[in-house]
Amino acid sequence: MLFSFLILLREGFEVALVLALVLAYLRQTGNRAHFKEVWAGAIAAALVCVGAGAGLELTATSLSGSSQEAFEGITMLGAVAVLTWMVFWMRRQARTIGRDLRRNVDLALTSGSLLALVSLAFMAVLREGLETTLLLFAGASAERGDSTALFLLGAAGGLAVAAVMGYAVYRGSRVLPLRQFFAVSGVIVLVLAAGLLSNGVAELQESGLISNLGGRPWDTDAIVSQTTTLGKFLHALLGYDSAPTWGQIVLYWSYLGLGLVAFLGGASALLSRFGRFRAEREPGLAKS
Amino acid sequence: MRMLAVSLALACVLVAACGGGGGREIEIVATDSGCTPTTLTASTREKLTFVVKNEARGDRELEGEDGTKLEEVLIPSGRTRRINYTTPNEEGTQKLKCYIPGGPETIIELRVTGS
Repeated sequence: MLFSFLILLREGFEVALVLALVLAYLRQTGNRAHFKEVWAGAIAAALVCVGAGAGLELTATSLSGSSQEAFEGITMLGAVAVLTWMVFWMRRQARTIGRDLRRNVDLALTSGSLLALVSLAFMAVLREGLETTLLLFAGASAERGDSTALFLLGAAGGLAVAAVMGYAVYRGSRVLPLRQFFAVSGVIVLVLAAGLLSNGVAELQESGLISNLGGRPWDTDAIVSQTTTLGKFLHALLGYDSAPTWGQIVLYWSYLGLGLVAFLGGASALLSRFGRFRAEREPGLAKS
Repeated sequence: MRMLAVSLALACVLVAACGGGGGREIEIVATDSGCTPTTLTASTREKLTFVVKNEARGDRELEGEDGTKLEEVLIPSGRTRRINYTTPNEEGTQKLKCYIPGGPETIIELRVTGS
């Protein structure tokens, strides 16, 4: 539940941020009439993502035993790659996202093609949406102990908070701590991804695709067993394993260590980048 | 010293909270030549604890088969795992799969009869 909440909050806000910036710009330039094209593109993309999610789920349930484990393991590793890329891409992108979007909206408006505006929203939502789909699927594989209802509840909750934050951006709110949001959620996402990495390689070993990940140096089953609710929760969220292999331990800590150093090492640069991003964004929004 | 006491207390709380109530213990042993025993008996709605000892050289997994509601549990080589399971309300045969990850399996039949 916590996993799906965090993923939808983070990914949902990225979608909401793009939509809010586009809609706010249309409003400022007196193009409110074109809101419907943006929404049409966004909704169409959301439907494609739901379809992709259903496809992944059907594929996984149609497989059995070791091929299902292999499919899930590969999806988890794919999700790790996507998460990592997303964290670092968003950090770089934040600087220019407002300017790029406004330029694209201008292009769409001057070309007079309504389709251009539809596809702008479609592509923005599709990219984030497919990421979300992949991550939720990988999370659902790991969070099997959780009930479907709780998992969906977490996702809906995260999306709702993201939508409220997106609305605040649309209204031109300056109290939203964007910089802190991306810094904190970036760290959380890296921790989640490290857990998925460990779970993913473990799935691949169980499927027989990877034959040996080394010995298991410790066993904490007596303290927190993975068959208990707490153990399952920690497994899904943080990749807890009561008897991890050397392969899992080394991959987990090197990913997390390198990821955090690379991410936080740029934290001071991030600060000044967001300073510029807000300065560039706010003169326009100040009118509203 | 105080740290140790606190962490021990915390560990005890966690074990108590999540360990759950165990049932009648049934020992299952996995070796390089398969898992034994292959037939078990229990009553309906009976709480069981499978104590799975893995004496094989590689890892083994235990999982419900053909609709038996038991999530997959990995038992590393040389380790023991305790798995709680409650038999269903209806009589019949439940199936457990004891297997080498990605490899051959032993089916354990659990015959559930009225209590």
